[in-house]
Amino acid sequence: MKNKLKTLTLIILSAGVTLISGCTEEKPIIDNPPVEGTIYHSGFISENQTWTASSIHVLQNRVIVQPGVTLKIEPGTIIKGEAGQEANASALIIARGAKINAQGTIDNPIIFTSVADEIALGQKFGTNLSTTKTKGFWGGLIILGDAPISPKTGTTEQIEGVPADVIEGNYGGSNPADNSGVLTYVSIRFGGTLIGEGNEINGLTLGGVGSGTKIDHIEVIGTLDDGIEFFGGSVNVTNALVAFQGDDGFDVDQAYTGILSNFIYLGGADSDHALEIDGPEGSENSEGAFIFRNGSLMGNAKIGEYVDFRSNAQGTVENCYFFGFNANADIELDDEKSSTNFINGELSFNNNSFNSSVWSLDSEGNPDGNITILSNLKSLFADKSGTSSSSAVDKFLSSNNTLVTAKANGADKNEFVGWTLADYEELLTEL
Amino acid sequence: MFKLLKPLTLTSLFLFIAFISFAQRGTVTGLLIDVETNEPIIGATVSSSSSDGGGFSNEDGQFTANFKVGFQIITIDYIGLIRKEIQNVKVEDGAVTDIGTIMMESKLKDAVKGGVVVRIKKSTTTESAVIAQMKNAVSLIDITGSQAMSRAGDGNAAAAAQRVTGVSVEGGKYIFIRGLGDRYTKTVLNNMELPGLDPDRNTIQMDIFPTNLIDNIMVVKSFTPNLSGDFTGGWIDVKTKDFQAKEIFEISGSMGFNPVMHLNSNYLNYNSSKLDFLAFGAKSRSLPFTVMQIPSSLWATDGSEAQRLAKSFNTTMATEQKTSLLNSSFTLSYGNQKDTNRTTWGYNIAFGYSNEYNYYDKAIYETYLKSSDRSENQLKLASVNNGSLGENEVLWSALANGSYKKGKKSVSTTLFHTQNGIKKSSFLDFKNIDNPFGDAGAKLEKNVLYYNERMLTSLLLKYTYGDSDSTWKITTKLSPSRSSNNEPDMRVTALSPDENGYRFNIGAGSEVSRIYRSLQEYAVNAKVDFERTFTLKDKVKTKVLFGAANSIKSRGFGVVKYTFQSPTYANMNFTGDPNQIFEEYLFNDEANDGFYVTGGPVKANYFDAWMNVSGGYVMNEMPIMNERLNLIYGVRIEKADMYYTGSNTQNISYINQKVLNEVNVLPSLNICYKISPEVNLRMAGTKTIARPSFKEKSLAQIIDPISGRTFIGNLDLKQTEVINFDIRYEWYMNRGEIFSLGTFYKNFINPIEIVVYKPETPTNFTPRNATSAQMYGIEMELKKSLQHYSEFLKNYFIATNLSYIFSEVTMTTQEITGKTNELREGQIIGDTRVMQGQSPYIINGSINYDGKDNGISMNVSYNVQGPKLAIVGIGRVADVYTESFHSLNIKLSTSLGLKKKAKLSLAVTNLLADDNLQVYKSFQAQDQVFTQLQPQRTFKLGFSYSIK
Repeated sequence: MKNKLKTLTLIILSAGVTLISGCTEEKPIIDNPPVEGTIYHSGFISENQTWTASSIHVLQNRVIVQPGVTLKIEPGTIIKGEAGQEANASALIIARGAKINAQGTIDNPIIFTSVADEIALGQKFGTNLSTTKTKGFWGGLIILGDAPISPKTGTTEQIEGVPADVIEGNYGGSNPADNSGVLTYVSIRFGGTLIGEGNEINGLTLGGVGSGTKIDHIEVIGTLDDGIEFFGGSVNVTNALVAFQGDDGFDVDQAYTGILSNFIYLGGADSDHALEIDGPEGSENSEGAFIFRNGSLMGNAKIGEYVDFRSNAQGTVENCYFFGFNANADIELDDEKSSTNFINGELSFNNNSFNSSVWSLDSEGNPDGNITILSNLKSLFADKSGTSSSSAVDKFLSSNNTLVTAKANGADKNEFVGWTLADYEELLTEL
Repeated sequence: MFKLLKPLTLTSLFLFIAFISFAQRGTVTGLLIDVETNEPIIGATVSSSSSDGGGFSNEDGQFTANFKVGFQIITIDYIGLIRKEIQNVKVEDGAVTDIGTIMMESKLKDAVKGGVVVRIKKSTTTESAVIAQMKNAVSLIDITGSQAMSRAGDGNAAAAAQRVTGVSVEGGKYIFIRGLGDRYTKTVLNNMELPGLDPDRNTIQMDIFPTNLIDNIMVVKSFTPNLSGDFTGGWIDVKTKDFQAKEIFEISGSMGFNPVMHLNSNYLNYNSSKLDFLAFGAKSRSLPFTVMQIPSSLWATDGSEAQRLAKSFNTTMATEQKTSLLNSSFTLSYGNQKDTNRTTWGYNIAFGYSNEYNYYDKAIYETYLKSSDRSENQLKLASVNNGSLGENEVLWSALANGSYKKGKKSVSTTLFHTQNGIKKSSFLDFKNIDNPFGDAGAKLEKNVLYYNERMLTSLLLKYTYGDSDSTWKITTKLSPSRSSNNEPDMRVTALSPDENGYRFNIGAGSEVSRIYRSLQEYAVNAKVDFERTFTLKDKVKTKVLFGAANSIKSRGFGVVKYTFQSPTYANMNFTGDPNQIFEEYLFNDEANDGFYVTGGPVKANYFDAWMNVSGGYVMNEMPIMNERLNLIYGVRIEKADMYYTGSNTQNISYINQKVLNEVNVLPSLNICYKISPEVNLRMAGTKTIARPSFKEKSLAQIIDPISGRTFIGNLDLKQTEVINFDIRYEWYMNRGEIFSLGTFYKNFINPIEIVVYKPETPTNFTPRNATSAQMYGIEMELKKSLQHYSEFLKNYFIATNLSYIFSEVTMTTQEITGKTNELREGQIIGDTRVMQGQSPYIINGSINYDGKDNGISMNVSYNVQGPKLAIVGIGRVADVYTESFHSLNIKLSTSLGLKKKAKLSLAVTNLLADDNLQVYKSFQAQDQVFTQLQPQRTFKLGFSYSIK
């Protein structure tokens, strides 16, 4: 009996082992081999740090500057992001309460690009990647602050793609004058990787950034999602250029209250709206209104729209020059609230000029190489709110918007000469 | 005189065995069988004319009674059966007289002619057998047997289990007992623990057990120390078919027809693998290369490799309309038993296969939000995602068992395998109307192709020593098992329709992606149980049970997503056909354009974890007060250790890190008081626990691309302790009849609730300990033959049960803040709410007609579960409730042929054509649809034939 039990136990155990073996699984290969002379960054930055121009800096994944910490980036520094999606997405995040001090110069701009970009130390431009096609090769630059925002609920929000338990992903607050540091002469190229289902990182994301922050001379080229997206906040941005992005050029959400001035937009073959303006999402801080002024916006021959006002949009677009768009492009009021805001003046679109020459399209919506001359402004305007639209159109026509044949107002392109990739690629000539 | 003897609990059925030692006395043994059902008769009274001594039949129908020497008339009595008297039984001094098998007949039935099989095992399947088991159990149990399952026509264990008092089923798969879900409910197979099948839950999905392989499903509601301590709602034991005492060989088949779903040329399918019909479709859908990172820049740096990788994928992305077939199923079972002089061999094999088609032409998935304006109570439509869905499910299972018995020793083994494949093809029109969680105004046309392969293999080896006469009984069990849940190659194509056809609009959410998710679990369970019977001085038997168990369980999980993108989309003219992308627009190195593949594994989305639970117990069954009161008390000690390997998105890694280390002492007291031979009053007070699952107590931050949710682990999580009280009154009226009324109360310390991490992140979920929760309820069950009421109703049997449950759990501060932020005018919230997934009431009812003379039977069954909280609302997301589904089914069957070996049946399910509906509910707002599917009525024609 004892022996029988022993044999039985052995049989049982071997059967168990047989079932369990086969438990081998392939482990994912994730890490890239390091390159000499390169400084790698990943995870949290918890002490003040300076990134110097003498090395290439690589963002391996999400690099977060923690509250109370300042990250200084020297002029001429090149920062390259590794490829990767979702949690692997490389991005530099300046948390609420942290500061970035990135002051480039015309001669030594600070460049954020992809590791696939062969740009070397001391250079301002790489040459191996297509300026007009490349996008989504890495993440982007995200600055978060304590200024008021109007999110879906409450007064704070978690930035997309950062899990809720990472408190550094939270933004929005009650200090309109909040200071997240300085960002000048910074070029952000080929970013915008996917971070979640239907979510991509923008070139420059400004979440609840306060007016104490200085942001000027910014270029965003070839981002997969939006060029610059404002999620609430009150920071003023001057001399900003967005080109060839995969979605919208300048995007406003959560009742941004700052001023964007002297900006350039160059629509790409996959770009959607030059300007996409949403209103407040919730009931808190819902009064905030933005101002966009002195912009020059060049559309694409096939695709893309001028402006989309939607979800209770409120603010002002003025003194802008729009040209090079296709014949189907329009300025759209998407919802009833935006239409109402437009009629009563909470949303204003005035003193803007439109080049009357637009690219004509064939019956399938492809450019036929011809030019159509617009005879009136009315055809540019589309009130899709479903309400009786005549008063909105009247308002548009009576707001001193004009059809022109040459540049009459808009941006001063000289601010972008000498340091932007767009200038280097001679893309500013038509402006 | 036999009136003085009370039918006793199972545990004290051996009462008179020891009388042998008395002088001038002898023993009479025998076996009692119900002639009608071929079942053993449990608890019958055996007495003699000498009015001295006697006994009861045990759970196997056997009796051993002690009488004075001489010729005796042995009388056998059992409620509802005709008394049997055996004349001139010779009782010899100190000897055993076996009077063999005694067949007993129902009082209300004419005598059945001969030809009855005498060798028989304990039946566990029929209504009367399961009720006898409930009556004699030491704790509070409820059972449903295969007879009830086949009467109602339930196809899988989940459907069958919901006929049990207090059981509700969520999503057709997950069992809730008394409103408590997988965290508090444990499912075992043949009393041995199983690995899980769901990445989000601990428990096994019950729909993978087909009823044709099941003998019975037992739900234990009060803890006894010989069971593992981590259940609170119930311990569900799925008992697979055992061999029969006689040779059986049965085959059956059925065809099901749903006028809306079947033979419908709009049914959605997708071109797929040849092995789908065997539920082995995962292999052909596996990733075409080893899991690796593919950088989005590859097309720019190595175009030929980008081209090669993109082309390696299967090119089918589109749903196609194809006529759906009928549902079909097939079962086969064979079993036999061979006896030689002192040994018994038994074996049994069973196989079942089913193939079902579901088609929902108007599937509705909508999102409503609370208005941003807090003075507005009505919910606002935010986005719609409606369309049609085709579903093909294949399920097959095989079971083999064998048993060898020699004297007091027996060895048995059971091998069980179940394999399930679900293919879903859906075509959905998405529109973002005004949803801030996306791009307002965005429109998408989505083709989603999904395949899910699940399997479970379990081996059980069992050695038993001892029989009903032994003072020692030893049971050793060992069970290794393996399960997997693979979701290979979920293919999503979302294109944006516009004036000129279709666009790939990133901002609107256009995407082409392939997702691979897998879960593997292994478990090895070992158990040894000892049972020692002592005879006390007043001849009362008491049992001491003790034993040990060890269970090891491991889980490996991973999900990986690959996305297809193109450098530009400017030169593509999309027709809307998703196949076009893989046939025409894949990346081409020369053109340096087209859809390339990018993405790959994210460390945080993989984990491995394992757990060891060791337990030991001692308990005693002590009959007191003239055996009217049976006390079952004892304690179990469990030690649990859990280890985790994985990293979070901040790149913090755990390698085999111990995350849980607990020792628990779990006392249990069950009392059964026999008010009369037919009436029990039971009481129980126990302490049990609920442990966090692997990923709950971890540093996980897993983004699940299938649900779009992020799961965040919680290392501070404490295990839940639960104090349980039960009282139940049971009246066993006649054979197979019961009326019971019970009440229960449970108090939870540190209950774990899965909640939204914070109000601003409604798709980030985490487990948290609420401070407390409690629940209480009442349960009623009635199973009654109507034969006593009128001649007309003599063949009718009714079975009904109802439960009413109240629960409340304290909300976490995050939840209260999130709800307070969005309070409407005049709305007040407290600090408690109902527990998630809990039905406030559950009602079951059935009427069964069994025409014993005409061979016709009919069953009408009804089940409804009160609305239950499915999604806990926070911020602007309102609570979602699963509405009641009024399930009314009818089944008619008739025996055919002279020997009645064939049986033909017709069943109609969902006679009321009710919908599966989930709705948003908010303060003073009209309910709005969250999901709606219309399963319609299905007609099923079945045929079965007993070859032996």
